[in-house]
Amino acid sequence: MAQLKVENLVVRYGDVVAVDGVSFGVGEGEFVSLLGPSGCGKTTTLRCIAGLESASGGRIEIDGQVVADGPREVPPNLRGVNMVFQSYAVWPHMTVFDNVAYGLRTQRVSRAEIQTRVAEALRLVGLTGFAERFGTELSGGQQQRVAVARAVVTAPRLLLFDEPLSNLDAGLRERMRFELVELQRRLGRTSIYVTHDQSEAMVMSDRIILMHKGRIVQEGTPQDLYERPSCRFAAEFVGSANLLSGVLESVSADGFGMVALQGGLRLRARLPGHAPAAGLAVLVCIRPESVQLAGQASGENVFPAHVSRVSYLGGVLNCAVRAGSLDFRAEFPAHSRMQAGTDVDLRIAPDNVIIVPDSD
Amino acid sequence: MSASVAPRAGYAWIKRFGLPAMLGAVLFVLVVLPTAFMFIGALMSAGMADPAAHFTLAKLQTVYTTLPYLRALGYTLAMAGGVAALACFVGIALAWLVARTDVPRKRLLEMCMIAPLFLSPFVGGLAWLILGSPKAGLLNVLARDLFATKGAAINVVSTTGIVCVMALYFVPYAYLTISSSLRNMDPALEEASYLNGAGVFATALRVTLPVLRPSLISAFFFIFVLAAGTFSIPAVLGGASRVPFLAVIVFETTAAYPIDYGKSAAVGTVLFWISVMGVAFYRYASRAANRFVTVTARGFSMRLVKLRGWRWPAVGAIGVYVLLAIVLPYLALIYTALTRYMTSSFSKASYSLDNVRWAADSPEVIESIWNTLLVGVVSPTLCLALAVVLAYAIRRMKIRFGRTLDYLTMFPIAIPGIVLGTGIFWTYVTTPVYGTIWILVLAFVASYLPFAYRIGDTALMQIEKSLEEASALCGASHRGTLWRITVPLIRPALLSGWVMVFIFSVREISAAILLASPSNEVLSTISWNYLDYGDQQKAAVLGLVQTLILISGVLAGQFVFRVRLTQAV
Repeated sequence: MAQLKVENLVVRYGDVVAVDGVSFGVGEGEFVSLLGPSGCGKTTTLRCIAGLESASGGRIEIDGQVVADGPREVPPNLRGVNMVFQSYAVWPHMTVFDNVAYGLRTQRVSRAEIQTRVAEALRLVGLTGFAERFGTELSGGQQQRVAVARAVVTAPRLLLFDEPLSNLDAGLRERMRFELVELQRRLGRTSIYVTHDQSEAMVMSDRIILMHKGRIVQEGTPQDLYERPSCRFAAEFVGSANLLSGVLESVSADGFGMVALQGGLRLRARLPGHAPAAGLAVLVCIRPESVQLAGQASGENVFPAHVSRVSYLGGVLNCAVRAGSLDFRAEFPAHSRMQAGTDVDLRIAPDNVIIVPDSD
Repeated sequence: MSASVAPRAGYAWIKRFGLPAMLGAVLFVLVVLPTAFMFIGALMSAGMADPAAHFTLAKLQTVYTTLPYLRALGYTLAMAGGVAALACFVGIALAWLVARTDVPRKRLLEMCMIAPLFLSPFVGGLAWLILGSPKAGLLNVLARDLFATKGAAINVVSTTGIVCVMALYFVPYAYLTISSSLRNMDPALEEASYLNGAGVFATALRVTLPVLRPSLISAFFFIFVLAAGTFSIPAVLGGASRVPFLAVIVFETTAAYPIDYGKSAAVGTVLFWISVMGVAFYRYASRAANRFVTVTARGFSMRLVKLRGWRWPAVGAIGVYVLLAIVLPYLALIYTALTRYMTSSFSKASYSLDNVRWAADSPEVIESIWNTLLVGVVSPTLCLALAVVLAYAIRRMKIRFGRTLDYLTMFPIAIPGIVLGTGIFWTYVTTPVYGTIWILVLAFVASYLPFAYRIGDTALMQIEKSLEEASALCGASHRGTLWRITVPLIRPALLSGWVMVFIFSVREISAAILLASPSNEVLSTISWNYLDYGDQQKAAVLGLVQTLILISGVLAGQFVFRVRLTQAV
């Protein structure tokens, strides 16, 4: 049974529609990310689930209980959810212990049980021995851990994360990603994670819900999103992409077709589920890392090209490549020692020539 | 070319020490001299003009060790503490309602709540004397008319009455401090509490209030210092009931027999120490408050508590405050101004325009209006000009002795108006400046310099330094940069500062009352004189005229100069 059901959620501020008819479900124990650029409505959606914001319309169900349905709303303190905030929100006037124990005290848990559960939560986030410190005496990373301990200790029905890592510096952010996933897997709590960082969402989530301008654009596993973007926005937002326009020339029964790109290149491509008819204009997405050095001058999807510029990024070389009059970017391994000005033969596997269905 | 910019020895010396010396001299005259002369005065056996005057410790000994004065000290501390506590309590309730709930018409309510800041506490005290004195007070008359009660329903001419009326006029200070802290507080602190299962009341008590505690404490001491040094309301309401209040004693010992200027100065020193200590506590608390305030990463609108059925009672509570602080007092003043004499019943009131006609014709009144306007325009202008030069020299030019100058500039914040008045009286009583309107200007500039300086300094800190550096690289001198780049950029702040000092100067009474003489009367001092003679009608008319001037100033600031007045105070 779905732990969370959001149906047709709408949030309006005056004339501005922040969330425009969003519906999705989250299963028991699942880790789902709401991903999108700032202003796409992801945080507003999360705050509606928490009860911190009122929806203008729609219905939210947690564990089978309706918590919001039009004007009828369950206040946030009675929803049995907990949240890790972007600003951590560690109470400055309380010790770490009091911060974590707060939710248990409101639930009138016995003193002895509070002791053991808080100690357990602090151990889980690696803060054993910090119980008597004040929130303001901790570093950003430690405050983040307090916030996580405080959210999991109450055993909430839903664990919500509002861009919890965005205030940390890059190195710590990487580490916390894995720690959070690890923690979530161990506790098995249903989690909803809001982020604008696509790599964060890819690493952590079972499923990603991609949002844009208040609507859900695409929903699926990280792999789905990366390999089968449903539109131009999805292709551009998740990973880097060469987006080229072309015409679908022919469609064959084995699920492949031929596209003629503007600039003269013709490539074999795998067709998406409901493919457009032959003869129509389409958008083609080619990831830079799917462009390979062919090693031979002929074959399927092999074509000659000229490397015009090479940028050294450490592990890979990001190259500006020109084939005929078509410009795009390709990524080669650093050991290929690619030089600017070289003429090469390139290949793109038909599976990696992605036809994007609707080009909004 | 290079020869003309080579440093000249004499010029370099002036450049190094000229400006600090000049500013130091100005602050010496404005701040150091009056303070020093107050202490000298406290050691004198008689006034400066008396040739027989000599040094003595007798006055200080009397004031610091004998019972009537210690009793007054106790009353002053207790009353100021009561005022501050009451104002903070009401202030926090109102601030919470506006910042955290869905109470309707917030902008209007907020405007009403801070309106008393722009009105004169002296006029407010006068109005409450008219409303709530035990026999002839209009509310008591009304109670007798409507309910046939006997005796007094309320009595403001008492210690409790004075504390309550003073608290009414200090609530806006508490409200502004607390509501700005509430706004700067990370809403996630409260949201986290909700999500941890705490309700509205528990969250307010266990998260909001403790996080606000440092700013509450700083608001408390700020109001405490202001209240302890307030002359107007305790003088108006306490005169009849003989409530001993230090600020009133400072004045009475110079005005009523036996006149003793030395004793007045000695009492002033007591008040001075109270202020210095209060300001120290205030500074300590506000430093803690700044450390506590956590500004959010993103400005998300706070989830508002839904009051539902409590919405209108909440509006009602705010309405009661507005009624008590503004509506009732001004109704009473207008009613009194339009009647010939106090009556025992509304049905027997004799309406007339005599008082208004008197005010329009009396040369004394007209002169005092001109004086008030003169002081009201000259003081803020001088005050702001000095403040900007000081702030620019100290913060941007980093002149020598900057820290000392900064300290001297902020020092008057610890000197209550009436104490500064005593000091200025002792400094200038034997000079021709005494008795002119300029001595009032001097007192007001010194009194309000810290406020103007703080505004100028904050504004300076907010403008990007590189804007000024670019001007220097384009060849402008310090003076050119200040005038052509800095001042235009901080203009909005300067205008709010100007309006603020204008308000303070027009309604000021505590310093003015000690320096007043028939040749330099302003509206507040002649209004006080008529009240002192027992002519409430004329005092009311003058109070209303003063209020009109204040309101026109505020409205001009708001609509002509687009000043944001909540920032001004």
